[in-house]
Amino acid sequence: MAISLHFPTEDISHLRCGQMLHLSGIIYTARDQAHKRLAEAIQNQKDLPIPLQGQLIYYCGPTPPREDGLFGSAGPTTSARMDPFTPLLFSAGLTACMGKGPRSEEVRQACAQYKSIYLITFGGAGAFLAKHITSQRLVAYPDLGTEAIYELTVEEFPAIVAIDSEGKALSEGEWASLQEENA
Amino acid sequence: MKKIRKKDFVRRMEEALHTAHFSLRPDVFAYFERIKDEVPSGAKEIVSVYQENAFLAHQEKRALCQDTGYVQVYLYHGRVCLDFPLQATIEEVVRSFYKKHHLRASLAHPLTRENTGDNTPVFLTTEWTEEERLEGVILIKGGGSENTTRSRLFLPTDGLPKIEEWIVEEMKSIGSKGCPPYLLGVGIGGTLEKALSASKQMLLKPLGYRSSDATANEIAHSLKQKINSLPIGFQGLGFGETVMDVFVKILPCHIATLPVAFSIGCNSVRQGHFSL
Repeated sequence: MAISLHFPTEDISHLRCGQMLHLSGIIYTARDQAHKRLAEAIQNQKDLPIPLQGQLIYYCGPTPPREDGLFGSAGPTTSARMDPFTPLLFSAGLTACMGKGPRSEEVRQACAQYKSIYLITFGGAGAFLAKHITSQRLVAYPDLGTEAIYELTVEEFPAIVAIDSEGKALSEGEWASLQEENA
Repeated sequence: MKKIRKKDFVRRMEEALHTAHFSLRPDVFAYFERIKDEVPSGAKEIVSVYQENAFLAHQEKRALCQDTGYVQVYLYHGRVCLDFPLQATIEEVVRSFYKKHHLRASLAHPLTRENTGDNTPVFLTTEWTEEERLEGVILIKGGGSENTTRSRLFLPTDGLPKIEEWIVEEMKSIGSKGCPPYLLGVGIGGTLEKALSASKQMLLKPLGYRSSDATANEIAHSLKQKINSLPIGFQGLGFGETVMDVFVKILPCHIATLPVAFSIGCNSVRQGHFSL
């Protein structure tokens, strides 16, 4: 059974590695180039275009909006490319991030240190995931096109906890055996 | 000589792009159907997500994956005559198709990272045939799987065990970064460039394909077994398989060289075909 989690959130400390989640509320997209800019802004003590406390950043570069104003396809991109920036974003208050694939040891340690979490969702299921986004709004870096920051409203958006706030990480191939143990 | 009109070429290429983006390969769809019966109950729900994704892509004309990739066209040019500029026409088709169907422009300057805005250029590879027709295969490849491409120049004395060991070790470190279950294409021999190109073209083979080269098939079989015993699995979640299939192409190479390359196709490996 999936656990419901609303963003922005106040508490993620009860979530454990391997658990299935259904996300609702407001989340933000940001991928490679937006991360570079956010990191520069934090380092230069500039104002950030989005709040980080209690928030989730989704590593996603959606297809352009369709006639209904929503994205046709909006799945996760490979998270590992954001590894160099993630500890800094956690230190600045970010609570959660979501993408696909494994993370570095530094990201795992940062989750434990800053009490943050890393979630994975389904790579290659962009059409399915886009159906769980009910509205979108461009909020920063419009010149980056698909790599700009969008505010998304999501409903029952599926995710799995891949690193919890105690720094326990789901290793490659471990999820299925964890399910069996918990069954 | 048979003459091919621009109008016909454009229509066929649009149809092939449509198939690539909105219809999951039938062999991959059947694969999901089959493994759903084989995986533990908690995992069935996840396989269903991918079936539902293929259904929504087809029904609602949503791109199978938001990474609508780069467009690689393999053209098999027979005894036909074209009265239009090929590269420019192909790019015209891609430009208008991506705009019309709200597909993501995913190409950028390598250093400034400025997006080219219309998903061009298109990467075109042409081979010459003796047939009375023009055939094209379109491969749409995302950046996640592209980042898993590997190549290496072995010593000519290194031999097969060392090559297999290298591929398996690389696959272990790639893990789930490229959206498994994968198709794995391997090119052994040729030049490094030919090995890379062959490895990518092998991704266009249907699941279960066996080549006329028995050695290539044996290597493919051995690699599939070894990679599927790694703890990765469907989306790195540890159930199902890491590779759906492996295809190997062997080419003669210089006596001083042994180039090897591999390419990965994600679970949403997208392709379309046209013939004129």
